[in-house]
Amino acid sequence: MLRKLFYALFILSLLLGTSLVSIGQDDGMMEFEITQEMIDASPYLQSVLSRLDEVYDTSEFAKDPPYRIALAAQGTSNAWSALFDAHAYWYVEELGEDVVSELLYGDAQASADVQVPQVEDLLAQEPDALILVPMGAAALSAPVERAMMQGVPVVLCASAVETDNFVTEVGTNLFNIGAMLAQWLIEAVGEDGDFVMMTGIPGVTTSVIMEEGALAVFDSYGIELLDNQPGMWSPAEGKKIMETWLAQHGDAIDGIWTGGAQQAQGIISAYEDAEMAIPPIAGGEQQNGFLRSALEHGFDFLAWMYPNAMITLCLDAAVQILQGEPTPRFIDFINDMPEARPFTHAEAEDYYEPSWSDDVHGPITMSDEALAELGFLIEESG
Amino acid sequence: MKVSARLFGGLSDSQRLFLRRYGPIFAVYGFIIILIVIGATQSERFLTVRNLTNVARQAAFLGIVALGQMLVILTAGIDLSVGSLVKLSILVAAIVMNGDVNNHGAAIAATLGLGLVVGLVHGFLVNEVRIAPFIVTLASLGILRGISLSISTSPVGSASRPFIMFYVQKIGPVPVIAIMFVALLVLTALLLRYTAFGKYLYAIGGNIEVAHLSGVPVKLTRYGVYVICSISASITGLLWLSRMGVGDPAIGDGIELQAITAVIIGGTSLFGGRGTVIGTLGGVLLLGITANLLVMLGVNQFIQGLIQGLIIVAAVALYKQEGD
Repeated sequence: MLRKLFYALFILSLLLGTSLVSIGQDDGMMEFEITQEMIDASPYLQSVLSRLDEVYDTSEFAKDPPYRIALAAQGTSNAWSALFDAHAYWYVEELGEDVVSELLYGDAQASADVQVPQVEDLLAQEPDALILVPMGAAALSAPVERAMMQGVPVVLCASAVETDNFVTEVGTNLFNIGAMLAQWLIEAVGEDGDFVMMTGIPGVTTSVIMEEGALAVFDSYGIELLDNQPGMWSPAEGKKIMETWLAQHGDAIDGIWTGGAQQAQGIISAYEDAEMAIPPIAGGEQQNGFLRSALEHGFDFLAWMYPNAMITLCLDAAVQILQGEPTPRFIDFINDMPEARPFTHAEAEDYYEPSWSDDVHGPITMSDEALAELGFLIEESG
Repeated sequence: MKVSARLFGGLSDSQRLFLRRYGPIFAVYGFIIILIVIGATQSERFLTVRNLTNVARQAAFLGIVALGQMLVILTAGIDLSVGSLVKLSILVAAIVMNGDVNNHGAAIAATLGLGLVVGLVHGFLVNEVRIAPFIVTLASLGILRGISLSISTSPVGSASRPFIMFYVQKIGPVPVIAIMFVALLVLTALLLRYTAFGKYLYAIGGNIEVAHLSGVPVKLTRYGVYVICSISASITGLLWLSRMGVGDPAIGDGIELQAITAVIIGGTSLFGGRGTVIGTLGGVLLLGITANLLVMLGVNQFIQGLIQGLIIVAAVALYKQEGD
């Protein structure tokens, strides 16, 4: 009885510990509380919190190397995913042929329609493990379940699915990221500010969950947004929407929440054209073009990181599973990549790399030579 | 000198006619055989039962929509809305089914009913309001997509467990979904060859005025093809729900272009009046095997667009010879 009570108190303390999220503790950047109401309203949050302390017994998947690993990736649809793929191929070479003999690759062109049959094609090749970057939480749930039924362990990389029937997920708590950005914006501007929100692609998990987190915080302050539109993670689409907002609201916009740096570049460009001062932006990233613009214009921002280099952790997890080692069910890349923590305008110069092209998303773990081969390094002037 | 004249130089008139009519289709199937040989020699897993049944099942998804699209194109029409209708059908089916096996009938009826209504609306606007099919279905593409995303931008509803298991059911080694597709292929072929409705499609596509003057019920026939096309999209929506288990609005975009591509590669004229089921099957298989092979060989999927474009140009060039 006492032992049960002890376990119950232990689990409760872990839940409470994870529910008070503090990011950037050193400078007291922001702090917000994940309430039970938020958890109840978010199946994603429930799933992540329940898996935080779980470990998967992978003995059923143990086999001798070398391994054939399937990677169902987003595909080379933008610079982030191009670098993701480049990291994957680079890291497989680093691991060596005696560990990974073949990387079976599927390019989803950022589309769930394409990815669902593609996962079926990959599974038809009977890989030892499947690393999946899901292009839709719901659309990919049944294919993930079928892979597990087939005996192929699934590692979710950079995004989630609706089922819990997979081995592990590598990523970060996207709900927290969305909420943290909103919290920072409110603190930077004040609760009375007028805000607009630009999400990513409707229906894509990363975007949907970040939006959930942000709205939970805005709602908790009783803040009504001026507008909420999808920027499609595209500079062009982001600029188009921002132009409309500027025409509609002018300088009444006190702060902008954005789900990514690509569309933030469009936002900045719209302000440049309108010759207006840029308000605080929550949602930049270590994307070189965004940082260059931020340094030029000197506006306040909070950036988060979603490193394409996390694929190296996904490959490590796949190998770990195939070696039969117990594997955590949620691997937060921030624990393994401490450099991938959020930062503000105060540190922009530290993260800006003059030798990188504008479309490079950091942090990068590859060598400069590898980056140059991919065309992401610019020639130094003078 | 025309290429066709050089190619068909020493043949009798009937042989020339046969080759002109079916030569391009032979070319499509010839290309499929080349792809199979490439697959078999480059990947040890390409010709496995597992992969071939996988390709057959995947072909059904595109094939069913392509069959409906072919019938519309035979009448010199087009339906650009099928992708959006697939999207909306998935949502309607998932919401009505809501994970309960007792709701199967209602979900299937609601989804097919949706297809029926959309098809009738298209038929009405084309026949009675006399708006070009391209405009009607382009508008419909936007409207149906808008309705879908208004219902939800995130997943809604769910399929029942037996409905999800339908996706993996097989008779022997052959997936039930592939058998279903073959049955629809045979039905469509019979419809075109042995029924008055089938003859009317070719007549309307050949020359609508002459067809009308000859007593062909043009309006009724066009109502029929748009309804069949929309219902084929709704059936595909039901299959997608079986594949995914939930209603996801992310699915459906671009299916219309895939279907039109398959139909054109299969030799159906965009101007109507000419096309075969066996040709459309060839187009579907060619696209399906190409996609599968590119994954097998680890080739970037953007190459698929390039290959598809080249195939379309080659196919149209071949059919142009026939036209000349």
